[in-house]
Amino acid sequence: MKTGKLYVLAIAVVAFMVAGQFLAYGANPYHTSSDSWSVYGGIGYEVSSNTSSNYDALLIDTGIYIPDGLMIYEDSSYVSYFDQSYMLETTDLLCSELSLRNVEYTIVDAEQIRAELEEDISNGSADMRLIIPVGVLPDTIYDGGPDSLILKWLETGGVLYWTGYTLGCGISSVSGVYERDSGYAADFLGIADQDIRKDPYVSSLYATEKAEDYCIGESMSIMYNDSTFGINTQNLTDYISIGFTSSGYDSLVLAKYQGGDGMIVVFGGKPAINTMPTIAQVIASKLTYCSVIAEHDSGKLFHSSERGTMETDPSKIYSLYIYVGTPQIYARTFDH
Amino acid sequence: MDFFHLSGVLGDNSAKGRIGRSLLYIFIAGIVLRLFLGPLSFSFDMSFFVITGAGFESGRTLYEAGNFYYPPVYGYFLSALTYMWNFLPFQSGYMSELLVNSTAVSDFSQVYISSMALVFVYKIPLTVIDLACSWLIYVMVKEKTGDRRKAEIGFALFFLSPLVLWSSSVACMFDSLSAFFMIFSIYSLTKNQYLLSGAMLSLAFFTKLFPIVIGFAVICYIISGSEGRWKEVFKKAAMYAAGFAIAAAIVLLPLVLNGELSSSFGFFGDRTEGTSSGGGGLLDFFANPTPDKFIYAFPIMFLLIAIFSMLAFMRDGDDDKKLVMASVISVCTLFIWPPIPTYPVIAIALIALAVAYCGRREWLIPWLLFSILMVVHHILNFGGRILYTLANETSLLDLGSTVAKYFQFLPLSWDLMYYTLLALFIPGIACIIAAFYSLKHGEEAET
Repeated sequence: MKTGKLYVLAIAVVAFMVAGQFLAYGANPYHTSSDSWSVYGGIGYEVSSNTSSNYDALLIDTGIYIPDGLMIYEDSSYVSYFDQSYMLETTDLLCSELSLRNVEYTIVDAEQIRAELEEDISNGSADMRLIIPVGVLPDTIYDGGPDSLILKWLETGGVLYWTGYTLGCGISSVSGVYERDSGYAADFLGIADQDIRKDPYVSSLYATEKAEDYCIGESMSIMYNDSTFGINTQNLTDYISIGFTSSGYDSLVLAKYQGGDGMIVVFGGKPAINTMPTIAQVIASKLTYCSVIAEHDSGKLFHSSERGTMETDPSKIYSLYIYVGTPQIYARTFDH
Repeated sequence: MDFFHLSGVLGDNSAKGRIGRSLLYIFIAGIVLRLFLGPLSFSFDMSFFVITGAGFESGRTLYEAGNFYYPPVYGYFLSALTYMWNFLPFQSGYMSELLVNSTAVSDFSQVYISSMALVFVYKIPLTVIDLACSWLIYVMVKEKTGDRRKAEIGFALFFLSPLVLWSSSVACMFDSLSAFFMIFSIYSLTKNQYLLSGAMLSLAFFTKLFPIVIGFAVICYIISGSEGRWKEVFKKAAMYAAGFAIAAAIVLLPLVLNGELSSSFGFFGDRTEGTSSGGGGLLDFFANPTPDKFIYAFPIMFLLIAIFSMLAFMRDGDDDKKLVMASVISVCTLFIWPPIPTYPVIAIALIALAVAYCGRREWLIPWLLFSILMVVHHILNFGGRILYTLANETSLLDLGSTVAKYFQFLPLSWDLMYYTLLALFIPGIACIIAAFYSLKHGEEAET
């Protein structure tokens, strides 16, 4: 081959590569958006995308009000069961997944959580939700006693998303993790300790049977089966279980706080990069322990827009959750 | 069409025409085999590219979606391809609850089944890359030997290699791209295009790291070709290094600007962590030769590569052939330790050159061993999972029973994989024997 042709070939290949670079880091040529409005007797919505993607629009009767904002707990000075760099990477991905779903969040450390929770309690209502992705509660909000800040906050209507370890068992400080022997399940969910799985270093439990409300999870493209720290729902009253179950332990449970208006959502596994989209999906949808899927539209977007209407009952609280793509490339929730 | 015209396809009964037709037959056979393998794919590995593509569509960068575990070059290709695929009205795949199982957390990758449309469309660029690499081998052999038949053999050894077919058509891996850049680098070096050669080796390195081991051979080639004129050595080496650095700068610039540089080298760490730690004696170490333990064997390999490269250049003969032989020995030495089965695709490309250009037929044995044993091990590893797309979208198989059979045979597969993993030492050993043989009988084949 002549040398000139060799250079032409090289330039062509490099040009293709640079085009890819430009699309990924410069141009961002993809646009997906949605909107929703009230119409007589219901709501209307529109979703559009210049990609080739499927979409779903879920009208969720949430039953209770859920605040928009979210606090993500992250404090590298506090001990947890997970490697700090791994948790940073995992939290970064959670943030990325929340951003594409249009969820506003702030990252808080142990002291900032205390301040936020105290403010909510003094106001008498929680204006942000909280996720603890490290499986242990910092000692600034929980000391194992019934007057702990986190329990008071849940009482006023706080929403806690939990993953990584047995709920309420581990209390973290800058010097280590203290584990409660008993009473943690009663404090949070009003059930016996053995109803929350605690077998962290012996075996993981990946559930395979559909839980009773799996259809809700399915409608949200959620298939979460990690029951390592799962919940036995036998003695729970106000809850939905949208994942899978094995050996009596459910992987993804949304339950009412036993002592008040709040909600606790337990993802029964360890924090993992590839389960963060699922966690973000649940958070973004504003799904609650008393949610009912009132309507579900789905369809295909191919450089196009789709519109729809859904009937609503004025006496109920709804969130319209629109998500696009498998895996999701966009989502947004509208309160109605 | 020009490609086949140059090969003499349009000639009718002449020797040129017959030889040209051979190339056409090889091409058709390769395409037919790829189409036949088309419906098979390993959705688990595909899922990471699908997530990365979805990441682009959601306005995220290459490493932001957290699922691209390779150096960046193929990621950039994926970005451009994602943009093109967006103009096709097909769905990338489905999540199936039938894949939720008790052995793993059911994240997207575990429950994803790629669509038949994606499986075929995704493989088109991989086939083009296979073809481009085969064509470079053909062009180089033909130019150097003037023998079209040898060039066709080189083409066939890559394009029809079971490992290459498996890698691009079933495993959906892009090792051929790395091979293409590496062969491009070697070819342009033999044409004294030092800047271009350095740039291409850089692209090969930032596609899948391994081709960098031909660096020793490149240094020896530059020194040998300069015949002791050190000023010339430095000039050529500087040109080569400049090419490498320019390409590296182009590749890495967006990552540096976005603070993603460390992610781009995660490929190496991801595959050297995990099971590589832990106790056990030397026997245990060799009895369970998982790819991540490669890091412990690397110092010995590094030494062997340096020694072999120098030995190859200490013999008399044509420098271009010595470059090819030193490169093939270097790359094959890297795979003495059992690699992830698609990695030796770059070795297949160099072996094709060693056989067709240098006339070293002894390398057909490692070619055969790599081609067969790596595929057999990967088949056991993937199991019935490569049938999921077929089962999901056709009535030929039932997805539920296909999944059940996969898990039913999983214990047996694991037992067998213990032996096939050990068998992956065999190609590497064959390479060492072939290397010694080639070095000892170097001049016989060269003349």
